[in-house]
Amino acid sequence: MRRAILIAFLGMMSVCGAAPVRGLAQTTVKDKYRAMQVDRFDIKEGVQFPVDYLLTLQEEILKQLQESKLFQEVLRPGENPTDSTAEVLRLTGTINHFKPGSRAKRYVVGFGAGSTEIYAHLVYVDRATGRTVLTQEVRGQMAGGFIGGESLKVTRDLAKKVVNTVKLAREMNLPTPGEAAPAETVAAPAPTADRHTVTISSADFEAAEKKLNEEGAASYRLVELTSTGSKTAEVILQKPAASSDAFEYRLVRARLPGTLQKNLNKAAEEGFHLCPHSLTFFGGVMAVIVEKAPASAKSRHEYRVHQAMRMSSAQKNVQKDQSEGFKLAETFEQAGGVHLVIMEKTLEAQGE
Amino acid sequence: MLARGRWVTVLALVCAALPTGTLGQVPLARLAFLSGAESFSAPIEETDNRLLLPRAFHILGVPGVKRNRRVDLELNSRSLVVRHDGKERLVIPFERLRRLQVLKGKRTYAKATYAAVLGMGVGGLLVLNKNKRVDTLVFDFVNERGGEMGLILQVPDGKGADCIQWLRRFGITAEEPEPLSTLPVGGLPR
Repeated sequence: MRRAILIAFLGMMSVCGAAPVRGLAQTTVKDKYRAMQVDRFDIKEGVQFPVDYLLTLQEEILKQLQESKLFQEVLRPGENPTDSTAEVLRLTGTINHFKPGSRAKRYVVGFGAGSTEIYAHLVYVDRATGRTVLTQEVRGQMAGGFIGGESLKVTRDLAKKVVNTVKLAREMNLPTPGEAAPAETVAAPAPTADRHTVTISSADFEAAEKKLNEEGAASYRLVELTSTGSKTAEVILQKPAASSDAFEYRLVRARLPGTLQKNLNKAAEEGFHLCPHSLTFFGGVMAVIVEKAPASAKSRHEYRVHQAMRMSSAQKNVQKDQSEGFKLAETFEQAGGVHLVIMEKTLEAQGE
Repeated sequence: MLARGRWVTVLALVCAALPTGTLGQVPLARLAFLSGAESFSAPIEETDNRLLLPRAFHILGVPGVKRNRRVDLELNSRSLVVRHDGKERLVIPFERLRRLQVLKGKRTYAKATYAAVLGMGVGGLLVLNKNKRVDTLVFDFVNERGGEMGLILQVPDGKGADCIQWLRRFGITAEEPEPLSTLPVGGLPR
């Protein structure tokens, strides 16, 4: 009898104790979404990407996601989860750059010559609401193999990187109902809006920064950055309707993550903040675009940049920083499977 | 005159005859893979009831069959059937077939190149220039759950048009993708 009372007491204690903790904890992507749908990617205008590669890429992502067991179900477009109440995360994307490469060059020359490359922009969307959860950039490369390797195998490398980004995205905290939506959902570009494109080249960062600032002074605001090659990227700027605010831009770059963190925090002290999904690599140089907008001039941010060889270490870094109030801002998988993560924390407004 | 795809066999025989080459020590029977194994030698059968494209290359979409394995593609009056090792691996009724796209491509000979390089040295890399033109068939279909799926097969050059003709009789749209592929599957760019 005494034992039964003790068990009942302990049971009640555990329920009472767990409830407040559960209430405080933020929901992560992995808590919310039980199924994932993989769509066929779009191809950016002007990019010559064969349809057979497109289909193979979708199948590779589906296969590798199924094997990873990250989600209870991995769906194709048109399929519904067996549990109709399960929330579905939809993965879609755009192929921004494709270099066909050459098998003969890969075999004869090697050392990266003749490599096949695909750059893709991923968008994770809540299937029920259509709200963007996260966007990321991934790059797949095929630099060698048996007699130079089949070019088609580049889809396998890209799919592997997509699965790795999904692993990190699952750790991301979702905004609570009262919280502001992520920047990418607010700044969704309208197709008919007044838009300008600025090309950034690693050959002349200063000129690119100057061009960005000229556009910013004319009230054009950065909405999207897409890598168009190993040394070039395109920045799309859009003029918001009924706004004459000027924006200031800076191209923060570094070779080492520690230096990038230092440079980012230095810019943040001057009122700049990281533009969502503006991280890109130009050869060995990592670069991000920071923006100073009149509306956000009062808020200040803090950044942490982590580099990890292992996915589990990258996941731990994300979890630890999120528990300290940081949010996942950028992820990127470098060549050799090195994971780069940028975390952002919004500090209290200055002067308040 | 040698048939297309046969000069690799001749090259292999030359290699085998070389006293110092690695291939010179390999029994000819083991060089069978260098012969017509990569060519579409089986006859293509077309009757009123079915179109049979034997020994097509599988690229994607047939469960349990690896890439670049040989499959037999049959189009009959009701469905598309893919056979491998004498077993039906995939049957798609025409009601579930949405679209066919045909691309032009090439296939290269990785194994033959490897063997030729071993036997002849750098000159063997010339085999990389040896390739076969193929039509890549990209089928879009839906599975039993309504999910969008794809199937990619490679058939001899010109046979893609036959498939388009056959499927048109059953109301399946065939189209040339825009932009057209400039890339072969598993081969060198043109």
